[in-house]
Amino acid sequence: MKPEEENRERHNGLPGCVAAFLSELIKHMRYRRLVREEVRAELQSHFAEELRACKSEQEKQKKAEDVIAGFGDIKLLATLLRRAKRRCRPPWQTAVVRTAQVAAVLAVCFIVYVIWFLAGRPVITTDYIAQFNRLVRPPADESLNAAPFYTRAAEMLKEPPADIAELLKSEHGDLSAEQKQRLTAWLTEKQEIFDLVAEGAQKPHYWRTYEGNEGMISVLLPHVRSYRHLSRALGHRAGLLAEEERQEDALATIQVCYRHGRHLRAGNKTLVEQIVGMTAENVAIDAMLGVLSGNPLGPARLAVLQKELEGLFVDEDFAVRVEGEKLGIYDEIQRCFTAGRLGGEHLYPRRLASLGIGDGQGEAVVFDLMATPRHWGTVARILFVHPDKAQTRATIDRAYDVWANWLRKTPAQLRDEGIHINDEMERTVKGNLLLEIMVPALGRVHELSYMTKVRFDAALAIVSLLRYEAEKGRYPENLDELVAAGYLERLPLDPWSAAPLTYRRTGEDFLLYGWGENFTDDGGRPGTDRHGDLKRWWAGNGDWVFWPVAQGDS
Amino acid sequence: MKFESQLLKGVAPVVVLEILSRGPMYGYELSQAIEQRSGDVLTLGKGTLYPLLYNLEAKKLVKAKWETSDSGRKRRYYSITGQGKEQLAGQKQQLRELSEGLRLVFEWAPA
Repeated sequence: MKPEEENRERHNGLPGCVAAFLSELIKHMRYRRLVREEVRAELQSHFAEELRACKSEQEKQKKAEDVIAGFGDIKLLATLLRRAKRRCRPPWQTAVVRTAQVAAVLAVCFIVYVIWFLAGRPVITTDYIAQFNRLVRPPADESLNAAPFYTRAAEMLKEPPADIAELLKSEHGDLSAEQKQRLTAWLTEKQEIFDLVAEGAQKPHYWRTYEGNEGMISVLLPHVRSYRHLSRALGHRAGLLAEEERQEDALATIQVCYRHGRHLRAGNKTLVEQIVGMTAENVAIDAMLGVLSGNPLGPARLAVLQKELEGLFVDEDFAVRVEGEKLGIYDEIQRCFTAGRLGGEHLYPRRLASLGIGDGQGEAVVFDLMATPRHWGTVARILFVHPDKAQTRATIDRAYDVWANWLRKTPAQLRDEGIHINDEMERTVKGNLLLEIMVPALGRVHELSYMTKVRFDAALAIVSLLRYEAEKGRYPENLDELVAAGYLERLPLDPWSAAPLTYRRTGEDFLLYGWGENFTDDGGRPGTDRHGDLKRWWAGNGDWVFWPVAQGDS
Repeated sequence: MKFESQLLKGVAPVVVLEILSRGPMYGYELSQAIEQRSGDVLTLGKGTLYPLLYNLEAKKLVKAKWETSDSGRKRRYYSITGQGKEQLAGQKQQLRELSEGLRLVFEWAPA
């Protein structure tokens, strides 16, 4: 008992054993101080009443001891008093106390959970880069690989001067005489590079060995820009050769450009390579149609050209291949989710930071996010409800099966089925932070692949129409006549109308067009940009006119 | 007479309410009143009395108030509430019926 308490009791005239008893009782009560003091005061008053009649200190002491004995077991009494006083608490106070207790328990559980959460680490078990390299490598000798030639050509090309790079991006028909002179000089200077590309284009295969030190996402594609410059350069070169009336050299250059593009696009490649490849192929087709437009060929040469084209891309599979992307996502799944055992198989914040979520590193990402109220939703997702590794893997397996099927359907088929690829993909991966970052926007790539295909089909149809005219002195009434006469094996399909491309004779010429991405027959009127200038592709407000080649086009 | 504690447990609340229904009392006064009015038959231990009073207070059958007596001593007085009076009436009726039933059992003789 504290000295001040003993003094207080003595001042009340109560024996020391009473003070000791009350102190012990109050200590065992373990309740709010104010309530305990009130109980102490009440019991003090009781003792005072009990001892009032005692005459001597001895008597008081004896009586006090009897009363204390009458209270019974001190711990039991303290428990009964505490329970009874707790019941006296108003309901709102009880609710507050219970809420605080629950909150404290939840806080402790939360801290333990966060420690457990942050304890996990991913374990890399599969080398997906090696797997991808095995996937892309055909069973062929290295001497049949075009990649070393393209790589050397890209390394020699490096980055063209800024003015040349601008010229390369322009349409050939838009170049002035002076610009063509500058371009010719530069192309002549780089002849060795184009010879390398031509040599590579003759090889039957193209594969490269992918490398990366942080998984598939770090796979380097060092020459993508150079390949773009090369294909544009080849397109301009063909145009310049055609203007010099060197049609054969022009067509040979176009073939190199196309083969180079197909090497990059066809087979299991990364999406970036496929896109660059499709771009090169489209440059080649545009260049070829430009050559044919300005330099009519005889029927025999057209027949040879048609045969070459049929050999190149009839029955070619233009569908986008996503196996590489899928392996990339598998790789990120094993890097972004902890392994089992300690920490479960949940998202690993450190890796997410390297993919662009948050500004901090590792565990700091979670704490940085927690410090910002608008990110609390993201933190809650990461900590509690985010799909785990198995669920993420299952999602991507299901999704890619579906998406691969969509990629083989034409835009018209998808529209009829009500499928918008990007919207559907977004819906599938919504809620999964990793997949929301990793999954590519396949919608546009799908459209690009069908655009490439329709341009090839159109080019083949155009060559056969030119051949028909060269041999018969007129264009056919319709494409059926062209097929019936044996000039074309089958009608060219328009992927945006689910019907053949639209053809009609226009006096001494003909019009061949597709409906384009607005799925509407605009009567062969090409699209325009917001300034009203011609925009042949992706204007969204006109048709894709393949012939005649527009003024100013290559 | 020392009764079985279980017997007393049941009647203790109704005894306390009955005594408080006659007028407010403080704890010591109440314990004395129980003994005196029952002719020393009923005794409520100090360790039972105060927890009982606090429980009755929690159930709003009694209410308590500190008052200063003429001698300057502070005491916590308990008084019965309306709800307590209702409860008391009900329990007294039950005890009367129980008592009558016990009497009939004890006085029964075979014919």
